[in-house]
Amino acid sequence: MPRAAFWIFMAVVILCFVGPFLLPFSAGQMDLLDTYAPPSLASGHLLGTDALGRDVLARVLEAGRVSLAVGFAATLASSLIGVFYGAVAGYRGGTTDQLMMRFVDVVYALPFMFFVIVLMVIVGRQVWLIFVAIAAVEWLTMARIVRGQTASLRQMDFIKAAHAMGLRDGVIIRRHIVPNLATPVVIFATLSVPQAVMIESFLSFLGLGVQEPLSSWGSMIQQGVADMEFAPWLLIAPAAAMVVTLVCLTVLGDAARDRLDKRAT
Amino acid sequence: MIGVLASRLLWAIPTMLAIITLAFFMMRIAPGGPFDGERAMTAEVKANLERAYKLDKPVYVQYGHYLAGVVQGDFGPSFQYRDQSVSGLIRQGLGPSLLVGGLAVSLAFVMGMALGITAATHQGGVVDRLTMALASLGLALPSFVIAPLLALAFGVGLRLFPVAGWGTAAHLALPVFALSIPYAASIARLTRGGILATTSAPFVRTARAKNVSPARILWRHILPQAIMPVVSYLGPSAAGVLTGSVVIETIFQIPGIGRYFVQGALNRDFTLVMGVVIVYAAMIIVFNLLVDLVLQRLDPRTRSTA
Repeated sequence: MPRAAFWIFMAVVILCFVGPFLLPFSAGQMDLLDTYAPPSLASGHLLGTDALGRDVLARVLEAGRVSLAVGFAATLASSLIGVFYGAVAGYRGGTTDQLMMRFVDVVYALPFMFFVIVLMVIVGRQVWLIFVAIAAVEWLTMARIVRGQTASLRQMDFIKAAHAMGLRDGVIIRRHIVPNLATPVVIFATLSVPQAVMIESFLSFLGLGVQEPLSSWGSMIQQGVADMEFAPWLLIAPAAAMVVTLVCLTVLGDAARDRLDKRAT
Repeated sequence: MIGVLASRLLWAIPTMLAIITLAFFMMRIAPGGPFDGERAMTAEVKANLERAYKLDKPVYVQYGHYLAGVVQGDFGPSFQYRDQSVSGLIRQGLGPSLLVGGLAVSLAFVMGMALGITAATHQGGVVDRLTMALASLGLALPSFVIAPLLALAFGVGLRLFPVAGWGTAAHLALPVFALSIPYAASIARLTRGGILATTSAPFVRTARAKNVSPARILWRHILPQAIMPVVSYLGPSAAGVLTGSVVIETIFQIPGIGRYFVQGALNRDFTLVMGVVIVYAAMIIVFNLLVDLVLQRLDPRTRSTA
């Protein structure tokens, strides 16, 4: 299962990033004489066209670039914040640790989606802000995991030795703690990629995410819902892309977690 | 028990205050006022409008005024729906939202329990694996993917239910089902796990030795114990149900507060968005409180001995 999921996911990624170069139509190319054309082999529009006569296949692939790029970039950003925060809290210990983790607990309890939406309303709808909004939600779990690992690493002899050699805290965290966190961090990051993709599409679905002329799977689903009674392919195409991607990523994430659990026990 | 309830209610006050304050200041630091997007208006008209909505006063005066209003259940006038108050809009929307949300949580509970029990009693078999695969699928897919596909299949394709709208019982079917799916999936997993963990407990073995019928063992001995993780899951899931309802109300065009929330967010209608956030926060707090009370009834260890 995980192996199949990996290869299917890689196929989706390659299709999204290379596919558009191989198609006869570009995603933005309009044809007002050929709107809402159903999928057909003869016309070359394999997944039909939309309200402006744009090729749906080309649009789905282009939108996939946005969805996947946002998903990975946001995961990277949230991982960096989470690892740094968790490592400092776990390494410092004591009151600093208590205060830092209490803050995480409080933020964790907030109904986050709503604050993300409020944030998007306040700062306006810009692509880079979507990264910030997603990272602001996703770093919390990473911080908790890293903090736990760091707290147990701190007791290890090699850290004590580094300390005895007079290394500064910053150097110890960077050179000795962080490299030893690699496995759980990579695994948890794998788990949070589908979450990030989902949050981005959720915002775009509500019209608060990426704006035209850019589109993501979420915004394409939104447009598809409006026209589904007479042009269902506008909904099915982006929804199917999303289903395949999310299922593959979830299977991969679960497999990674199982492997970590096995190592832990 | 009364003591626990009182202390929880007491804690809810600073929590609500923090949320109201956060919401207020987040909205105030927003660049661009609610009247910026429209046709250019003369400075005079704008000044009048701002005076009418008290936007010309210092921020702390606005804050005090807002807080005093919220305590009395008044969230101020809506910026977008000019002649309506936010409280009025929320009152209109609350009924449909609560109806759909309540039905969805109940349906999720029934479906999830049924699936979980079925899977656990057929552990390792085809039924078990099929149910759990379905549950994984239900968890992996967000509501804004599931709901449109359901509407397409059952509304547009099979014509069994209306695709969108509000008014009759048939209008409820698709939104309630769509909203319940992720929770039914979670509950099914938790129920299955709870039952399997309890089956090997000593008191179950004793009951079996006493020749109690398998059905009675399941319902009287295993389930009251196995249901605990399900109930404690319901509390934190309240926020998720509300997030889901925002999507569901948008897709199925239900006149609930989730739709006002999205509309408000798109129109930068500050007072409306803040009002809905505050109502949502209050709902989450109340729901968590209820769940804690139920948990206390269920778990003998947390009952006070007095």
